[in-house]
Amino acid sequence: MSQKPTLGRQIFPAVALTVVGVGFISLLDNPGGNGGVALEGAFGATTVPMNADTTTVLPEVAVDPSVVVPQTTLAPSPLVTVAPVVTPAPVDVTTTPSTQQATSATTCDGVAITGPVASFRWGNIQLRATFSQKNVLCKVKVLTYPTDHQKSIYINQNALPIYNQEAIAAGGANISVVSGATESWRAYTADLQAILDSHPAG
Amino acid sequence: MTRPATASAVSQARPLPSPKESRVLDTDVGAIIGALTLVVVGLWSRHGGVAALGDSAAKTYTSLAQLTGLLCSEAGILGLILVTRTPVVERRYGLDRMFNWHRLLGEAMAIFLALHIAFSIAAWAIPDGTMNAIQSLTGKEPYMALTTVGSVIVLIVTISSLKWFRNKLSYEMWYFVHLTAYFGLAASFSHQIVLGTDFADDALARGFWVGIHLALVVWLIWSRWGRLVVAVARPLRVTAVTHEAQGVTSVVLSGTHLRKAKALGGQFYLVRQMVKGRWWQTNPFSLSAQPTNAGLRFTVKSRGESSNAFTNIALGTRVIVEGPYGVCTPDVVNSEKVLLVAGGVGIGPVVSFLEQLGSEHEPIILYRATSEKEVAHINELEALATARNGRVHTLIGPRATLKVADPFSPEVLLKVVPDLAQRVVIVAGPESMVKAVQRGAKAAGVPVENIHAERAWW
Repeated sequence: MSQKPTLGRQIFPAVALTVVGVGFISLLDNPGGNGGVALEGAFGATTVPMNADTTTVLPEVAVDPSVVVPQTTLAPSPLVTVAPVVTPAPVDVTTTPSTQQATSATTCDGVAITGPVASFRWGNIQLRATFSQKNVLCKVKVLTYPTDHQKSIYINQNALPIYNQEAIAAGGANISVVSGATESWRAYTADLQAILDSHPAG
Repeated sequence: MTRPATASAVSQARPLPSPKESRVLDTDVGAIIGALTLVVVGLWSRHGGVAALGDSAAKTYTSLAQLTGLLCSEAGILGLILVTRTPVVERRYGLDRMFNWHRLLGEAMAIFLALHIAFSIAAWAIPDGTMNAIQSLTGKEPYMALTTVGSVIVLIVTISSLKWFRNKLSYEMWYFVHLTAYFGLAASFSHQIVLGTDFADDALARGFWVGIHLALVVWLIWSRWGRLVVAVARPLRVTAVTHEAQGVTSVVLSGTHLRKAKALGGQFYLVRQMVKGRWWQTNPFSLSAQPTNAGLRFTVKSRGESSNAFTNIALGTRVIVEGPYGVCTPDVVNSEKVLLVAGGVGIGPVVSFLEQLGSEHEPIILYRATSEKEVAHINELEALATARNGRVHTLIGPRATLKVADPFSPEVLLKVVPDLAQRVVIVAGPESMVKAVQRGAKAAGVPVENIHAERAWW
């Protein structure tokens, strides 16, 4: 039988693995960990266009979602650089699928409804939906989305235009999820459903 | 240690060297489990798991669903590490104990899984209603149909392994159900990466999670298939089959590949007979003689279909062995005197253990069998004991005919072995007897660390 192992030999693996484990955890994303101040700042910035009338905001182009990403000056590695995008422009996408275009002539001159703030684990989502005269959902604008975190910006700038497009195609909140943006999807659909529920025409 | 001549048929040959001693410590195992738990819980907490607990009901349930899901995976990972039968761990703890821990981890995993499902449904039911939530989580959401199938499989496997069910199933049935667990676990992995925000939204965490799962898959493939391939490349052949007692047969396996083998008395192998219809399953059999380069002897009692076939095995049959396994080996004894207790076919490991002891151990052997007809290796046992200044006591007959109610009570043990407290106790046999001996020896003053038990494998 071998002799009793030294105390150092007994303790070392535990200490080493604990250090590695804690180090690893500290490298992980920590949403909300920067405190509420940064969060509010971000919301303040993004709520600016909220007061503006829909028609005055940016030229309304029917944009393919893939075109949106290069528009925003996002660094390719969202984990490293923090500085450039402090107050990203809200995702402003008006998508008009060709099928819809043919049937309803898409004049978005009906009611516009701003939804409640849907808050979830990574921040808040707030939508503003515009309907046509026939009360068909024809435009969704994202007023607020989580920006306290580069990763959130990246994910949402990818997913939200797709959700906008899907919502218009579906004419409601019954849309499918983009992988990696499940929680945004839940907040988005909840908010859109709230708008639809509050629509005067039902 | 002196090795006097023995009565064993293979005693002329050179004994196999001992397997390398494991340097794994309890604290190492604790450190690994602790660190994995730290990372899993830390990851959950860092992603806002703790903060979400006090929040709205939906957030609280989501957070709890994530925690239980992660812990479920952790139990699965640890359980799979145990089935790799990694030698350094096996040599330290023994396959028997590893199987036991595997079973406990499986049960823990099932409990976490049930909680995870319940919390997930509760979280999704808040905006959508319970029926919609169940619909989403069993099919609508990406990969959830696959995950549902996987979860059902994992639950079935766990239930089929509960002792109550296990006893009602044939080994073959249980084995094939158990194999599906691999598919079950793989099927539920996808949703963790796609739907679980802990991994979907954090590339570093995702890399870590995918990484440890990939490493585990490689490790499993190597340890289960790689080692099997090695074993297949080194087959042994049956060179002797001897009828020892009613329903008890000893089988000697030999081959040139034993030159490089390492093993100790008291250990066992997983034995696979390369016979039509049997090649896919293994039986654990204990060595019943000191392992030598001339051959490994196993003493087998026909008990099930498979061991039955083994007692009738033809000479020259190809046999594949994996092992050796087991930690109840002669190197647990330093210079103390030894008491060996054998029950039924537990005589096999006791003989092979005894053969590697010296006269300084003055071994006393208690041999319990329920019938005279089942007594095996008794002449060999007496010769081995006598050569080592020891003696053999037999206790034969059905329990009801014994003079004492409990043959392993401390009083009886001390009467037969007055210096019991100074001895190392080795016991091999049926579980109930092993427990009775452990209890009796402890009560008679033997320190727990000096009692070594091996379930009899046959």
